[in-house]
Amino acid sequence: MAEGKDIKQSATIKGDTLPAPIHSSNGLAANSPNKTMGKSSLSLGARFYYRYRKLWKTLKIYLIMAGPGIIVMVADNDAGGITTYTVTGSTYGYNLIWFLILLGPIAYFVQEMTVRLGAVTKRGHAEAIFDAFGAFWGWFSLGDLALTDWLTLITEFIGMTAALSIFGIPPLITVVLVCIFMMALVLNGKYWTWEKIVLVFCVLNLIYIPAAIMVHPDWDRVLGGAIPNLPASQGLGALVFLLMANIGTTIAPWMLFFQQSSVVDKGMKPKDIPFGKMDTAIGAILTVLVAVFLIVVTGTLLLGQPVNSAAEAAIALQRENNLVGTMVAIGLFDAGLLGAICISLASSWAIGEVFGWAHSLNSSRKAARGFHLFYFILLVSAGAMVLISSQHVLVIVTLFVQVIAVTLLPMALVFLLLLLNNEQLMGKYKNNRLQNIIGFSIVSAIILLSLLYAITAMFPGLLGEVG
Amino acid sequence: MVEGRKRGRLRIWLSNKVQPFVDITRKYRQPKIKMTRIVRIALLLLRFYLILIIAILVFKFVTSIG
Repeated sequence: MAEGKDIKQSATIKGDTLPAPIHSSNGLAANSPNKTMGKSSLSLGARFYYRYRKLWKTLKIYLIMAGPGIIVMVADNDAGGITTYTVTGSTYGYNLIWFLILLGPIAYFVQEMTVRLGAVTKRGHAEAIFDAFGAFWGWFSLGDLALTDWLTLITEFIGMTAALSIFGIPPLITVVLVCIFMMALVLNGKYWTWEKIVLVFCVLNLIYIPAAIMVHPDWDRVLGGAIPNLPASQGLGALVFLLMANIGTTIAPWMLFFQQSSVVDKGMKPKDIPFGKMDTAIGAILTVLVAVFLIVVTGTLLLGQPVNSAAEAAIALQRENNLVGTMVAIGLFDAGLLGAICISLASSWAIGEVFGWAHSLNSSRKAARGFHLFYFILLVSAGAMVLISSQHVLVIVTLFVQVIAVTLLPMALVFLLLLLNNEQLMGKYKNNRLQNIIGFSIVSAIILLSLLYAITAMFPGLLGEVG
Repeated sequence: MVEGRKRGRLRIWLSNKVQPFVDITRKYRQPKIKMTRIVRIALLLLRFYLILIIAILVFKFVTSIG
């Protein structure tokens, strides 16, 4: 946390804060070049220069504050998400692009609330639930989060090992190297370093954009996919299941816990909320871009082919275009790694908050021993599960992730809305009426669809053939 | 004698491990949020939702085994 404060202070010393405009009686800023220079060409130049400096300083502050929003949103396209998008593209082509575009603002709206909550209360989501709703709901949320995250972490390892198997790297090597890398990342003792390294992996996640351009899609048809339509080629059951899977991968419980804890660890203050919102909005745009471009890749080259996983899709794509298939495999590994980094931290932060351990990434190894130990156990046990379990067990794990996440998501969302409406806690940052209407609509729809998704995952034939 | 000492140590070790859970439960026993009608209704609906989900899970588990 101290690191975050230092960063902001150094920015102020270098003169990187926005100049406070002095307002005169006519509404114009007194320090604006307008007043003294009139409308001459010099005035225009000075005005342009003033705007440019202001924009540049805002951008510099944003670059300091950027991180949690982009990381959580890009990591949202984890190994499971990449599989969902490849299946969506190979089954329905470009037809469901509109749905993913629609999910962007929804994800932004939900995540933006965690920015406000974290910046105002300086508490993670788990601690906030314990404090506001008592021990029963606190323990239930924490236990469910830990279990969901551990199971999801297993699916990330499945994705990473499958991706690197395409390049002939054995799963054991992948798991060991990933565990060492992730431990080193957390043990470096600086939030700032951790964040910037993770942002590099976020940039790598954009690999699907050049891949999509390389497959030469029919861009008119791609744009046509942005117009809402419901393709019924595979039956209603399969369509509803895939729509719900896309929702499940875009809005996940760990994201709420992760971003709020991340905002707290970074040391963001209420005045930084606009930058946090901008960060989240940019992240939401990136997550939609990745999803859409991946659908373009698989919708162009694999339409109509049976695809069950992203690794399968990468192999099939290599047959069509070797470079594109390789890029998809690299993207899958990157997505799994990003997901693993964020999910393991979401749980460790939550446990650290509740048990009162030192749990900042800025904490020393000695001070945060419990936090680091929990993180290590979570990581190694999930990696080991992938190595020792049979394929049958891993399929059951993948199924139960969806169902258990569904039990946590409505709870986390409802608690988030209630906390954001608590004036005592949030003060002027509480939700306004419009935000509540949107929030209530989103949460109701997600709860209904999540429940339907869980039922469909457990009873596949209920809505017809799922495909 | 040695057996008794071992059992005593085990009991102390276990109580040390359980104590943080007891302390946290005690610390957060009372919800701090103002219990308005909306909060009460939301928590009640969440309880129903959880019962429904758990019932579905148990049903699936039982029918799978059967």
